[in-house]
Amino acid sequence: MRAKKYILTEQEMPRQWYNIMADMPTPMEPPLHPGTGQPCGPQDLAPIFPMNLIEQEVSTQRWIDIPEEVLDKYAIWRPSPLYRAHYLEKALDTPARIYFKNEGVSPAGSHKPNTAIAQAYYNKVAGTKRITTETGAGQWGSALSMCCAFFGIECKVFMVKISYNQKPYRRLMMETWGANCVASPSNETRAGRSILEKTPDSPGSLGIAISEAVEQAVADDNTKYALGSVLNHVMIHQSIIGLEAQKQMQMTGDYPDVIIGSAGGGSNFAGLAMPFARDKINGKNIDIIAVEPASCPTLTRGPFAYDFGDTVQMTPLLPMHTLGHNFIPEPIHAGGLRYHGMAPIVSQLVLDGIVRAEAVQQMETFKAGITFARSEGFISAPECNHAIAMTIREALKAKAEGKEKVILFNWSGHGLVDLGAYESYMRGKLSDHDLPQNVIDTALKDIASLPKPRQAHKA
Amino acid sequence: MNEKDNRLTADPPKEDVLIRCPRLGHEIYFNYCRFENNGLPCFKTLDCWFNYFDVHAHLKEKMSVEDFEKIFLNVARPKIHALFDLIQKTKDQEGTQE
Repeated sequence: MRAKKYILTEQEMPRQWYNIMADMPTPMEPPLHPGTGQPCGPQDLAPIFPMNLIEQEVSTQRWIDIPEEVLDKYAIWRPSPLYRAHYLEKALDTPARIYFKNEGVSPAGSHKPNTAIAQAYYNKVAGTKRITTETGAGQWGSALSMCCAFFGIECKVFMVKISYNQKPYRRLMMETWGANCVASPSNETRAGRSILEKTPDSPGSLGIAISEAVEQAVADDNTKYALGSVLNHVMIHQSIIGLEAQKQMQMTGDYPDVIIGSAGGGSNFAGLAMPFARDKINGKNIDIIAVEPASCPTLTRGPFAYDFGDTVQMTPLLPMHTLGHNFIPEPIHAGGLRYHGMAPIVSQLVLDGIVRAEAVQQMETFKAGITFARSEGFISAPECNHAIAMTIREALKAKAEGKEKVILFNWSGHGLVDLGAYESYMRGKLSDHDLPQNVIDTALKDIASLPKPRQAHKA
Repeated sequence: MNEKDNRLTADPPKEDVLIRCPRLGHEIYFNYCRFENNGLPCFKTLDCWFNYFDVHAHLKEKMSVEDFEKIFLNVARPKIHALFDLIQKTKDQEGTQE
């Protein structure tokens, strides 16, 4: 019988996380504090994060020991299995050998607990009694709720009200794990009350929810805040995915030619890709692809220049015509103004040419998710479908070229709580729009005078 | 979209047109994005809706120049800066209250 799964034992689980900050071709500069203009120091983050996590956030140490208590909790579902996607290969009639790392086996159903466990543990060690966070659909909030329960920490989740009403199952997961999940804006914070006074029926926003979570952390010495993506320490914790995959790929006798991950905030992509990016930095020939939605690009460039504001270059890009270059607006509410939702590490690796970014349309992603479900069985989280869509593209390219490529992608979570999105797709409620070139040209004329930033590719 | 003159309509879609919000992680309608930012649009509205209707023209018509530039032509900053801002804001408010 052919091998379908490649399983490591608990004893074979990696004992250290990998920190790519030690190997970045272009070293990352510490962020500057917007108030002082000076590089931010540990004390700037101390009101919301425990010092042990702040140390990881700024660390350039290549290997970081995973505490035994974290390994013990990881063992509930880790090492996660690596699968050979024989049935997807057959469905595509491709010579490519496709592998996927199944992160949907965690109790919360996604890769998010890889960092939630670590963050809960380090907070416990630091004496934190309560952790606050914000969540939209609830993938992060549910992961953190479970991990706080493991370590006996109170968990408070501010869930954007529109999501709170639309995604009741993840809210119930959070409550099952003992978290206090409240709809944001709430009456529990100044930020929430100020919104409700003006707009009692506000549907909420991530900006408001972040404001509420941070406010409670700053106001109480026993409370800290946790974030599930973007930050460096999150990328470090997620590296366990790629480190396990490297061991499992050795078991298969293959080494990936192509690594693929969907990139929202960058954590599931980075988790799989960073250990392989180290191999690439050291000379391996690997195509590492971060995949994002074409409808709302961050790493790639959409047809309009506004997208430049969210590309990988993290400097002021567009002039303030009437307000001036140096105008810094008062926050409408913190988190509401433009910020980069992508991990700086991932952005820099795109600029350095270590990682390639691609965008796919939403219809292609759902079609890919359906193909995957009907061949391999698993129903994927919609974000994960971006990685599957790109895997299918690469597999079909291998077929056209007659090449036996080895493709590895991160199956970052199941979609069993996201079936409403599948229903919208299957009932024809979703659609893509291909813009005519003359429409793009007309729009571009309007902003032709704006400066164009440096682009990693597709300039 | 009008097939004849190949231009995008400037009218926003109704609430039966949904797109996946990359920030929230679920489907959302335009009117949410339009007012998400305390009455102003989410800063990703142009990026997310550009291929559904002429969102650029629509928002330019509906918003003041100052608000449009504040939201869309403003500097995109690292997310950690938003955290610094929030920490400072909360500390300032606590100081005021004392």
